[in-house]
Amino acid sequence: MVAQFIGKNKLNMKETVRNYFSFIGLLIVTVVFEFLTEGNLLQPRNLMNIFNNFFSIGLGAMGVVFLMSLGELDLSVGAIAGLSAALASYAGQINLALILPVAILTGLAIGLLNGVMIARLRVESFIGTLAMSFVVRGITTWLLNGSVGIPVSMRVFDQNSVKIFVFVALLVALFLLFEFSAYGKQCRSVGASADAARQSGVKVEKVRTMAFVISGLMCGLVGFFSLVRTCTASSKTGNAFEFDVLLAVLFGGMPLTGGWPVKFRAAILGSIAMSVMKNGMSLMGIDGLTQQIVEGVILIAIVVIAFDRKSANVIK
Amino acid sequence: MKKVLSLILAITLAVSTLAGCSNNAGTASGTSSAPTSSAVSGQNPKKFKIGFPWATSSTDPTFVSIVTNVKAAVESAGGELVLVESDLTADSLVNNVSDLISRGVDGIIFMPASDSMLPTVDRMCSDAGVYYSTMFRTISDTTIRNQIYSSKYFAGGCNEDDEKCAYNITKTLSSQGVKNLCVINIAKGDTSSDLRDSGVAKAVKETGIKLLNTTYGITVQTDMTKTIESYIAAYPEMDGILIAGTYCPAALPTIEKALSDHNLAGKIKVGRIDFDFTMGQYFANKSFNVAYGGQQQIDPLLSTVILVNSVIGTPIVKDKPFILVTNYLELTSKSEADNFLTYFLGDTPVYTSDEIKKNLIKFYNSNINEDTFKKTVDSFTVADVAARHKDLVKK
Repeated sequence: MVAQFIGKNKLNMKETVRNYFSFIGLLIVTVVFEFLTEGNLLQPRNLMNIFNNFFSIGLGAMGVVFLMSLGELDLSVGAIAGLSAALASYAGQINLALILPVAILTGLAIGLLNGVMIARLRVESFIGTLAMSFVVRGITTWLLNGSVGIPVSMRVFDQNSVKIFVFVALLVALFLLFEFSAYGKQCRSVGASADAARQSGVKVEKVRTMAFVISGLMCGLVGFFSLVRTCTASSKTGNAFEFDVLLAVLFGGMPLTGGWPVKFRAAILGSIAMSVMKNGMSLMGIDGLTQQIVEGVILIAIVVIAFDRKSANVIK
Repeated sequence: MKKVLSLILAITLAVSTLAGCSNNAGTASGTSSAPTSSAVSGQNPKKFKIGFPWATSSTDPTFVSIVTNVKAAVESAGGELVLVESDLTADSLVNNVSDLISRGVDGIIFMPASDSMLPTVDRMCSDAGVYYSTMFRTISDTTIRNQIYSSKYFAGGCNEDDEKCAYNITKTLSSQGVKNLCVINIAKGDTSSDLRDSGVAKAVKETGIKLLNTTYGITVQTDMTKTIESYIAAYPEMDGILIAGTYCPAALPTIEKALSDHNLAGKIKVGRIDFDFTMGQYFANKSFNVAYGGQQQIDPLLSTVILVNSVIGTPIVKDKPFILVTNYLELTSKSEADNFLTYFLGDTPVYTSDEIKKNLIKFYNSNINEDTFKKTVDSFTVADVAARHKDLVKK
């Protein structure tokens, strides 16, 4: 009986860690780096640094939640952000009012292409989006051949108040869409079992396509805000952004296999934790290459801890 | 359970904010110590930190020598250099500047990737009270230039007349018999790249050289090799290659190897803006013909000295930034190249900390002014450095 009690508590502890991984991770990261940076981490000035890092990753992560609930991946998010910034910067030379719409439409268009490729043409999302990232990066490099600037008056969109407002508005909208709308439930049901969802009347291909469109839209916004922050679009805009986003959502407790266990909070908590970690390492003077090593090790550790092998049907 | 965790998180965060209280009494960055107007002998300025985002992972001797010279400038006045890795793009530099400000630096020296990123940097530095200066770049955009030059926290910096340099080197290549020229340049949108393009275009128009092609933004050796091989295949009439600028490490050896593989080394004239540590051997076997450079050490050193003077409260020029144009040096022989290698790319900066302290830091010598700096620039040559440091540097 005692053994049963201990066994049951062990199982509960494991489930608790898995379920609240994102909260625990954020707590640990924040406390550790606050002490390691001798209190500089949570200084007001530095909190705005963290917010600026978190803003882009958070936007990307919120878009990727829908995809990952389907059990899909998108490795083209960085490339989409780069192309969105590039096309928007050229549009800005015609008319400043075109910058935002062009950035968003570019993201939507590439997202739609991804969606059609994966949902209709049945290309594996890992391979398909990786290939798309090569194509899009190549187009961006060819278009820009360096960097293009936009008028500095566009920096008005880089103000913290604007970014906070935009983030909160999108957070609320996407949270409601994911957690409470029929579409959000359809995403998770397809992630749990596409066949069962199809037999229940869910239009699986449309759900998948829409998820990629949402991700593309968010990437377009990331491209826009990256552009107005530096007033420069370069062929390196969005470089390695997909890994930041992936690491963020995994760190937030996102199950790789998708399905019903996916929670929207994974995007937010994971993005905050990632931003705190990157900022903390910068404050400690850890160079970029070492940071990459740390991020890689953490990614492996997260996958080992959080991957639920019992519910995995197919290794993607 | 979720509520309990949230409560623990909130309490822990609140407690951990107290961790830094005792450490942060004086971390308001950027407030330079302001001694009275002239230096007081025997005293030193308050400790300060200068941040420098740079490609610190590069092992290219030129990149390393830039850090050596910036460090000498900072340490000459008793400061500390804070290095951060950067890929030198606008996005990365803006983030680097933000991080450096959070790390409490008093000044930031950097090479801007574009004019349009400067207002963002200016806003961040001005809000934080951190001085900044630029190296290697002028500001071409008039509106941005006016804004930055009127900023209280822009100390100034050095740049070169890239257009004149590119013009001169192209004319030199023409005088050496080049009639069909291919060019490699830094990515478009970079101010230096655009100015060097203009200089080449001007010289090409005057000399009648045919400009066959320009490739931009090569940063890795494999791409450099592919580009040269493409040039060789597409333009059999090519008789000159000008490296107007590149961030590709070991660019010259890569090009020379590609030419050598096609038995064209020595037949195609090669010129380069920015000195290369392998120049000597190629000058010797006559496969490399002319180089303009030397600014890659003096520019960052003087740009940092300008910044340091502002940070410690003794700006060279009061109430406006100090912009200094440094000269390109010309090398055409192996002996000059060997001296460059010995005295410019070794562990000793082109001006030691003691030399800088004595001749360029106003805190220690109130006679220092704009003219002092201009004389320094005018007298700066490979031979000058060799003469000053012959006892310091072992050949």
